[in-house]
Amino acid sequence: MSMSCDDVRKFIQAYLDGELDEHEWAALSLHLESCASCRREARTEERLRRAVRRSLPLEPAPASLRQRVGTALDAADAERREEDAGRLRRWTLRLVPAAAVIALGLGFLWSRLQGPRPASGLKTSLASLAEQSIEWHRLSPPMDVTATNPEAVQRYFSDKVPFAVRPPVFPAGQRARLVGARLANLREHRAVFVTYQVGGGRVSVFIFDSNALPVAGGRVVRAGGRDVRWQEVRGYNVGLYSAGGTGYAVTSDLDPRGLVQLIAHSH
Amino acid sequence: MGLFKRRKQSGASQREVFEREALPHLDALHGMALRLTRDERQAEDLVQDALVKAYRFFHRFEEGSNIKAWLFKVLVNTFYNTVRKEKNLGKLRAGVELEPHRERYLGAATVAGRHAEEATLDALAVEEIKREVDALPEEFRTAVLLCDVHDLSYKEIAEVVGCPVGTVMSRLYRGRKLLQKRLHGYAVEQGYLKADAEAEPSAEEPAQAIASLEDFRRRKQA
Repeated sequence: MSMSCDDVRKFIQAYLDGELDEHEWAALSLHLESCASCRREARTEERLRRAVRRSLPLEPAPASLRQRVGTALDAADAERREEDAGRLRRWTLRLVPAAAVIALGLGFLWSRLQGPRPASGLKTSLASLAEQSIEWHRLSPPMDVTATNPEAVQRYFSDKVPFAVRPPVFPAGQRARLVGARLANLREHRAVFVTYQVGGGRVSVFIFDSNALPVAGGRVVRAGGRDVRWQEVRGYNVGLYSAGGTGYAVTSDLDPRGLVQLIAHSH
Repeated sequence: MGLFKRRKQSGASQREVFEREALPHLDALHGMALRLTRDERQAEDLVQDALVKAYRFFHRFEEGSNIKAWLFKVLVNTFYNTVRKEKNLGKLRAGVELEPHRERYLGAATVAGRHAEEATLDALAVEEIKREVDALPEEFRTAVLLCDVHDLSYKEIAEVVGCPVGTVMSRLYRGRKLLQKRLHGYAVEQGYLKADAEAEPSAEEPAQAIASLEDFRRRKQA
């Protein structure tokens, strides 16, 4: 395909700049071979490019510039680190209260899901249990049920607490007499508070699920074939033992020997 | 993304990757900045600003594309946004047009021959050529420098200055013709050449405006 001088003049620069495709390049080359005028034009264009290149060779940038750029990039790095740190700080400030709320919420949910603490959980100290036992013993709160018959008390609580309530039966020789019982809470667990008249004094017993509320501490003594944990607080004696998964915390203003005797012979 | 992947693979920091990719072009960037600002101090400031900007936006650079063209784009944009604002734009644009005395010489003299002129271009002093390049209107100068000194393609120049390829071709054509005219005028002025109004190269585009290559190709296919 032949090109006119007009076309050649228009695209001679693209030709020299290597912007033509091979067909265009071939067509223009063919024209240049046969046209002295366009050839001269091309030569002048080429010399101009050469002159420009010659006058502006690639010279190395000053070493000081290289150094300046390095310092400027260091500064940009430092600035970026500062920005990142600032962003982190802002997020932390925003996130900490949110995380606390979430943690509390999760903790609450967890405790609800867990229900009563299992036996393997943290044990309650006998000392703190004794405090409550003595408190109730001293105040002698009104009874839910007054009965002298242990079976009657057991029947009364059969649908009220998740464990069998068998009030201890003390030996006849002790002249202990069941007075009554009421629903109670030991820690966050259901319990039954039972009181007795023994001679001129009183005996109170907290009956609870010993699997749900394990107790530790106190001095362990043997009484009637049982291990009894023993705690003395402000003149009161508290003895704790368990039988068949049921815990008994016995509080009395009797002397220690009398209470051990009582527990040893109870069933 | 590609860059991020590459960084991950090599275990190099972004700084290391940037220095490896961009700093080899420092000399070219400095050369271009010098011709844009025509002032050493301003050129160094411009290069520094442009490289810091490029570093900040390095994640936007697409791996596989021409980093040199991308860096030139950042440099030219930085120049437009900062240095040029400080300078008097009117003065810059007027450039050569403010010096009509050479036209008088051209009108008065006669040219010995075309061959003499071609040879003259080769013989001209480097300083004079540089001076005439610097005197070109900014848009022409940028296109000519990117093409002739820095070897960017029309497409890359279009990308750098943010205009269509057809406009790049037009600027190159007019810039080179203007340069040719100035150098011819200088040669006559210095007595290298006898001036001849007929032989004076025209900075005007041919009768038909410079068409883009795409137009040309469409026309050929029709």
